[in-house]
Amino acid sequence: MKLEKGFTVAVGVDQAWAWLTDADAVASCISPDLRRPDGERVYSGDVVIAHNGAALRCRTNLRPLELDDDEHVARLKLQGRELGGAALGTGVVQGKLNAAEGGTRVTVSADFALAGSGSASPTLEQVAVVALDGFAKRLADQMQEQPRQEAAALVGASARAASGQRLKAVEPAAAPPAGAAPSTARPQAPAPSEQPGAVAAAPADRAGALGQRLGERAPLVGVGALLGALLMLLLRRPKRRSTVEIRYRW
Amino acid sequence: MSSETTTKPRRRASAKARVPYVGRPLPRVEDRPLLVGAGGYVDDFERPGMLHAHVVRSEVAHGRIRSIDVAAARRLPGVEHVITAADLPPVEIPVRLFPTDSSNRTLQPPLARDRVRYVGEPVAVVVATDPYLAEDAAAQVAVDVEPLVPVLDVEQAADDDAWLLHPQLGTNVIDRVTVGGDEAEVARLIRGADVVVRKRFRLARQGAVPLETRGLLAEYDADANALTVWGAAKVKHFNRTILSDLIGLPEASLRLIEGDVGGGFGARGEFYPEDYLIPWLAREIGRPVKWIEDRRENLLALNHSREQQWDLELAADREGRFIAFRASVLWAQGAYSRTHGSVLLPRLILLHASGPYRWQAFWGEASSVLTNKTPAGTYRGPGQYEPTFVRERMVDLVAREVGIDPAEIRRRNIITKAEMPYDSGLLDLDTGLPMVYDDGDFPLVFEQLLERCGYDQLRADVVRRQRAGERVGLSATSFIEMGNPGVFEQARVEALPDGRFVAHVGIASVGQGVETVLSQVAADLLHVPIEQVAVRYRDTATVPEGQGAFSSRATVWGGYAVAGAIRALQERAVEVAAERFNAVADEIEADGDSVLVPRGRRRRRVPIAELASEGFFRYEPGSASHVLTGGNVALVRVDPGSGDVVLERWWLAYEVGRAINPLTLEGQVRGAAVQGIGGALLEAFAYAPDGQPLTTSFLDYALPTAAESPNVEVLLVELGERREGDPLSGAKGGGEGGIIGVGATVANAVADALGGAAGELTELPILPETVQRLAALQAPAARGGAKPPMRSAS
Amino acid sequence: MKPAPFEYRDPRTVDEVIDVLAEHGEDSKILAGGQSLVPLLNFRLAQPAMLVDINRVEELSFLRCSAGVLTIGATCRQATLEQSIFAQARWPLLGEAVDLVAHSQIRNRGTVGGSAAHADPAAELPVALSCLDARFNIRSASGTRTVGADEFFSTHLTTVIEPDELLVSIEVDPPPAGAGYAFCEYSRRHGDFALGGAAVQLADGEVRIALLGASDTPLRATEAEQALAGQQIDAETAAEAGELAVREVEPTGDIHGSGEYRRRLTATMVKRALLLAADRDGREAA
Repeated sequence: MKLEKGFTVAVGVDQAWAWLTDADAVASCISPDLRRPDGERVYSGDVVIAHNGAALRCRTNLRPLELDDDEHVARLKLQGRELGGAALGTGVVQGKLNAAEGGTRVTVSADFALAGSGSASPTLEQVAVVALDGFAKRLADQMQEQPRQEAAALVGASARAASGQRLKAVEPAAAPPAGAAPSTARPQAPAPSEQPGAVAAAPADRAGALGQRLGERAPLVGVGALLGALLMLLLRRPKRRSTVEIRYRW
Repeated sequence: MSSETTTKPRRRASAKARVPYVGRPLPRVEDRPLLVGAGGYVDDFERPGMLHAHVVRSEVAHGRIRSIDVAAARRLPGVEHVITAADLPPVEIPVRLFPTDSSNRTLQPPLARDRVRYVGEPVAVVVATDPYLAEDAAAQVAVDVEPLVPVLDVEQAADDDAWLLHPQLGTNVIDRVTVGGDEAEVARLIRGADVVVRKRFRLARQGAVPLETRGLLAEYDADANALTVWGAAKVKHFNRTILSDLIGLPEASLRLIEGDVGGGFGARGEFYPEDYLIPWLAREIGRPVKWIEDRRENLLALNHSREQQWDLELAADREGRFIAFRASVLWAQGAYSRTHGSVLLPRLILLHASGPYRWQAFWGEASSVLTNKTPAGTYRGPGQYEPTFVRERMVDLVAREVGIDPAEIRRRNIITKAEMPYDSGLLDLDTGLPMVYDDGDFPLVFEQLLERCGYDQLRADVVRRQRAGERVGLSATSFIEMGNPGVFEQARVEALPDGRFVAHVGIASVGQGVETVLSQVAADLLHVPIEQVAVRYRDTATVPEGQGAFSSRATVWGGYAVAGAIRALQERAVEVAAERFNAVADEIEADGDSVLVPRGRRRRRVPIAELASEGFFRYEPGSASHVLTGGNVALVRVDPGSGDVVLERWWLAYEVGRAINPLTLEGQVRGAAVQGIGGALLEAFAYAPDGQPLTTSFLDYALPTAAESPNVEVLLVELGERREGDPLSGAKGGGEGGIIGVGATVANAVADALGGAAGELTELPILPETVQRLAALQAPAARGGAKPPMRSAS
Repeated sequence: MKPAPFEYRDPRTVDEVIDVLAEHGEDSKILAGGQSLVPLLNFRLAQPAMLVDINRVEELSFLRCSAGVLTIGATCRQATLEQSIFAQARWPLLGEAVDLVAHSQIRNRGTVGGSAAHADPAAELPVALSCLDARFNIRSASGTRTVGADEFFSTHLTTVIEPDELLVSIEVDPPPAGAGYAFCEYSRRHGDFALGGAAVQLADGEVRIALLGASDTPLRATEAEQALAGQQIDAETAAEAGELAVREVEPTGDIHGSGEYRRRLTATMVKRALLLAADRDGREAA
């Protein structure tokens, strides 16, 4: 099953990219129930969705797969299981940024394999789209509020983290050169030449910490969690007896 | 049934067209708990205060034990007990099947006494509070061994001047058995024949390798003087008897309990050294002791099988009609005679040598030979897989020699229906009486196989592809299976007040679906939904005796035992009803789960459970053995560059009389075929020249996986006669047939693909190296299609 | 098959790992996916005093493409590489190689860095990394050094990583646009260690051939590479290159195949990989 949702935020691609690769920030505007235990890179939690008066709980976990700084593509693996049900979903969620008029076009797509249930109901798919719209709006709001200075710092750290994982010093050459970006122009993005300076101005500890975090953490985790929850909603079937019958064995 | 009218309304329920469960492809009742993780394998069982044992095993293939120092191991914290042979009474594990004087002089003690004879032989046991500690301590046990020359090759071992494993025997040849008539007459026939092919064949050591390793948990209750052992399988009543003898407790004090069993295949469930050691330790220490075999141990300690060498001469006339064969077989028994003794396998091998073919005469001998390797026993299709490989290879070589198609030569030699009853010249394993083939239709099964696969078209395609340079090959082989051995089987059927029935049986489950098929039989006889029937087989305490699960016997033997017990239950109910309702017993009729008692012009239906609680039956029909036949067709492609063999298509026909459950039977047949493919292409227990085993993990002992498995198209041929009221009528014990012809079929197809080098293909498994080498001997362009020139085949 | 006792550490940062290694490096083993180490421990073939588990070091677990360079964190799972769309698209040789590593369950846990550091010459990833001239970033208390694939693998199961050092990441430059590539091997079963194999990359007249299981390390067949440079690759030249590639090698035989069989097999795999790579050469550019 494939789902896709696009929206535009009024910030530059690099700024949006930096924001999206800060997993904790994105996750926080989706569900406070997702946790990442110290030292783990998998986010997990029981996400609850209320729909038509019924609450659906699903155990969701997310794991980052890959980051492509050049193409601004981030992918993560999502797995979900309905609590108390037999439905399972697993697949890949992708976020892709493109420069667009008025800012950055964010395209979120999900490709899922589902097991243990029938086909998704159109009504619930509708609900998924509506929910995704809500998320898009909150995400856009958050992105607009993000101070420019900090965003720039994030971008610099991101570039540095990508340049070989050596976290000693910020090398200006490590910032994404304009030539490395997609040929589609990024009119709203901060000029690349501004970035090294901005990075240098950022507090060293902040930059260092982010450098460690970026790349390892789930980007777009919130999107994934939302989609995971929605998928579980789609998967939900008429309630069945779910206790396992254990026969007398001996 | 047409006499049923509305005047007997109560009979309607049972008489209305009830579709019998027998014959239906019902999913297994066993599956759900296994699939949802609710099964109970031996390692799932725990007892309070349980200790863990680790067996210290010989690291030397052959040697004299100078000393075993256990002091360092004993000192480690958490170690409760360490034993060696010196701590045990002088017991040995007896032969279960066909003991001989020689086999009784080559028995295995539970712990090696003065000599070690294979790598993996138990020499000591450490018991600790934790399995890790036990293994740590085991590493501290110092076994000082003076090495002796290891005897590894079966032919060298059989030499008069070979180093001896058991000097008191004076030879390494434990026993020798023969089959057939006058050896001199056979030799004369062979001398005078137009076509004679002579070959030596070798089969590597292979084994059952069940996915669940063995394990035991033993607990002794001193107050009750009762010993309970979890982890039994296959032949738990036999093992109870053996354990009772060895450990000196009456059988009534022993309970052997089966958990779910993750594969048996003949090897799991036999009585091994650990089956004595762990209960002995539990009694000695007074605390429950658990032992779970690890994979390395499993590959060293569980019975091996299959290793043998054949010298075979086969004579035929110019039309490819067989005249006679003469076979000499060395069966590599390994270091000891175990529960299968020293003559069972040689006998089985010779019993299956002549196959479904007509011979003027044949003669064969087979010897069991000691070598410094893990002792051998039966493994799925024992003594069937190997002679079928050898015979069917020879048949194809004769076909090449006389220039006819492999299918055609078989047509000319397979015993026809018109020739039945046909005296096979063989003697029944259990009764010793002459075996007469009087059942089945061998040519019909073979022709149905050829028809199903479209053999002629396949052959034409293969010839076309070969001419285009592809190394493809086609084979069609035939096999025979002496099935369903045994002496007796017991069952007890209980009627519960709520209308359910419980059948307690003495057979075992090794994962083959026994509960399902016996439930089908019982439900049909009792006229109840299958959900109202439960089959219990796990505990020696519930049925006095039982022979167990081997040689595909569980369905038929267990089924007739259950049927008899149901009949006994019904008879008892009739008796009680006669008394209670003051009726004449002859006028009371048993009808499934009820009896019908005359009441005026109508009849009263009384549930059995209100009249009788249980029925018991011992099925002991004399011999119930029978012959099954079948065949395989395989289309293979060979990569001459790598030596890879790709199984493109596979068809398997199997005459089973009647299939009680075609779904479980087909599943077993497919599984068996895949296991046979492992034997044909992948599996071999290898040893270094010093007797060190080289295959001690799944990295080196290569089992086939789904990726190596072709889609096996199974054709079940049901020729069994159906008798009213007997749901088992016509059924034969099936399941193993899937493996029997596989080695032969792969080998013949690869040989066909290799063309002129085919005669060199005389070993199993077929290694890529061999295929690569033979493929290079003759390029495909030099081949002449289906009838290549034949070199001297000897 | 239970391991001998060992001490266990699970640091959370690279700095902590380096500290532990500085103190205990000689007696310790690093545990990543455990796909090779854990069986060795269970067979008691490896009995380190300490295991340093780096699975909880977040900063080592990433797969990232930046400025055209692929950077694989030390604990990036093989499955992550396998599922990576950009790695499959731009480093297809790695994709082809990782698909041949064991089974998916194993790739879910096994790491790219672990496979490289384990340095089994019969493993696919070291051979592919060798063919791609990957760079290995190795860190210790005294700093970071970068080692090329040609010197990273020392001998059987041994690399230049010192006991106090940690492999932190692997970098792979992008292959030239439209480069032909192929990874061919033969194993007896799906997922087994191959008995012979070869990785090939063809671009702009440059030929790279890396051999699997032919020597004590992944081996570049330099003689064959040079002989083929600038040549048209056809059945004949590919076969010749195969023979040239194995002329100097003496693979070790075992129960699955003799050394001589493996040598012939390797020649066949080189030939097949060259022909497949030639078939793919320039296709993406076209």
